[in-house]
Amino acid sequence: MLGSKKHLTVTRKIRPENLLKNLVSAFLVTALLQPATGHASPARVGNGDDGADLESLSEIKSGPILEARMRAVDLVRKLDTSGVAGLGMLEPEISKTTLFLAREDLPAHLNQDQGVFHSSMSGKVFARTLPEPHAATRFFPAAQGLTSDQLVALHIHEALHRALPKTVRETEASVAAMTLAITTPAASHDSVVASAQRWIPQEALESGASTVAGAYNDPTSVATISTEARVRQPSLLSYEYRHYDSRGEEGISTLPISSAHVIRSDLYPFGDQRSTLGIGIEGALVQGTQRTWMGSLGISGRMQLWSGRGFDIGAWGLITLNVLSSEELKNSALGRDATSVGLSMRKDLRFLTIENRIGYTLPSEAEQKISSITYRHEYGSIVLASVSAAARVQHFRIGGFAELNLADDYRVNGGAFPFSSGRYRLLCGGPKISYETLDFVASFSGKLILDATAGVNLDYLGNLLGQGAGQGAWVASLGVFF
Amino acid sequence: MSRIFTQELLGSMLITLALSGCGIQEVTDSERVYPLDGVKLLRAGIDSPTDPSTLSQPEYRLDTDSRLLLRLESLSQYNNTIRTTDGYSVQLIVTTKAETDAERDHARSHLQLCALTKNWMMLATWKRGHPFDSSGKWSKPGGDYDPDQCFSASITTQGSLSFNVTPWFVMEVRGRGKNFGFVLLTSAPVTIGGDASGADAPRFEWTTSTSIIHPRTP
Repeated sequence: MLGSKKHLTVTRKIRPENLLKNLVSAFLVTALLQPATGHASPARVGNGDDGADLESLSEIKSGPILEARMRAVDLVRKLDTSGVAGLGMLEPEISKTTLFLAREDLPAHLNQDQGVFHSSMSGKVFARTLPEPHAATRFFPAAQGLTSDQLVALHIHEALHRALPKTVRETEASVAAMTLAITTPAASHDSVVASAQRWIPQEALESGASTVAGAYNDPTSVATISTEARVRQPSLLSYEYRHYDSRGEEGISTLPISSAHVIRSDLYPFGDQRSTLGIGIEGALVQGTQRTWMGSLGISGRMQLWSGRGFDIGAWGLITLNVLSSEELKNSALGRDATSVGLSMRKDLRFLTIENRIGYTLPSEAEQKISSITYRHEYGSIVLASVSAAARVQHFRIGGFAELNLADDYRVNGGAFPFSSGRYRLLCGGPKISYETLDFVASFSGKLILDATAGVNLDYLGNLLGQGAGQGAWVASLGVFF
Repeated sequence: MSRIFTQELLGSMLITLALSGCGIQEVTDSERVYPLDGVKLLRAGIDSPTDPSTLSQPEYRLDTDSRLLLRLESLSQYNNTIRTTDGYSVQLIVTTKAETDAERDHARSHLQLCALTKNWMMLATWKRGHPFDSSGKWSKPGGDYDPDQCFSASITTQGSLSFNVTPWFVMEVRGRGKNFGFVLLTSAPVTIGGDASGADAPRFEWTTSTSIIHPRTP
């Protein structure tokens, strides 16, 4: 109410002649400032929504413009722009955009048309695009007069408007500079990287989620890579100490194994930030009650298939070889070679991390010679399904996991002794607490049998490095990501 | 000379071919002896299934807390070969470390061989016949056996102890197709030759009863 009275009071002070003067003054100031602001702000490429070019479009299916696109794709592939921060989606934007040709030229009357790559000296527009992922590119007849090299540059320029991070893609100066850096005859991967570092600010890459092309028309596709996504630094070097719990009389482990020291190195030298491929090696020293054995050698392949919207989807394969084992370990029920493959899905929410894993272990065999009798252990295939969840409190993750192993028949034959387990289940679970940053991880976890087919324990799976042994294990680990 | 040599050579080759073609083979006494390959000591207090003192030993000392599991793992292969008629019998032979007749008779009187009723393997312990699931646990520590199928020993001419297990072989192996083997029990300390002792190792013999000095039937 007070506001209304004040407003009314002010209104009463304005006389008609003063009002007219004020309006004229405001108009003049606005008219003077308009060109100044237009030149002071970055030139922005628009969508040409004045309606002039929305009619009479035909899709380009052949001709020099299409051929120039192929050359542009070859050029960015040669420069490996997919490996340059901020340019990961340039090649798809060039190769997949739909090209249209307008019937008539348009005058370059929009601010967005003022860049050197957008219009000719005679003021005619060459091409327009929406600064959005997957948008189409509209060429105008004026572009048909360009040389092949100029068309290549035009393709790259228009694609940069869609592929660069959102805060940069509409800045004509940055896009033009990047276009030149890519199309200059002396361009190299390193020079493009240097130019990208200059023209694409780090905050544009790390502004919470650097929006990249790929999801505009496809809701199932990638939209963002979180700055905290593990895919950014997937390589890991870690040490793990496992203390096996061998309580209970029922166990097939013939070695008095109490603990294991595991060194693991996963390196991801291949791929980009959206899709990484790496190879891991893990070795173990198995600690017995009286001595230490060289354990299995694990060779793994891990591939980050997809990362976006907080999801990390990966595929993994693990081969555990006992070729390096001592005779004691190799000549036991745990001395089999195991091959496993699977998928992992991880979602990082603000306060919660959820990860699902599914896996399949191929059947295999192991021989165990006791005195003069040789026993053959035949392990059936194993299907693994696990769910883990952890609450995120700053860098701490506190949670647990549940893991179901569903295994086919485990058979033992030797001399006059046969044994067959039939299909069996092993449901394990346990707590896990970890401290994790982008560079470092420390964790402590436990794995216990929650439910199982009568008499079955982890020894039946015959994979000391994989599922473990006995009734479970307590694990402490330290690792460095890079 | 060369013609005569060639004729003799051809003759010997023809005879050899004829004999082998008819399946004629020389049978010796040694081929009737089958050393037991399944020998495992059970001792109360030893829970490790691969404890070295329970396997491949030259001798085993038995007492009330120590028993010996015995089995010829491949016995079923000889199911149709072994004769149990016309004076033949199946004997399980063990050799004691006794040096005098009195000590041998002492061992003979205290040892008892009983047929097992549950399957087992070389990872057997005092508590378990095998380590797999609940079926591996002995119902009584020290091995499950049938008291009605226990055999006493006789002393052979070589001073060993012989158990006539022909009824067991006929009923269990040949009849039911089961070969769970035996447990050797003693009510007093006795030392017998182990599976690593060569000639003194426990063994099966398919033999006539003429070599038995003091035959005893169960």
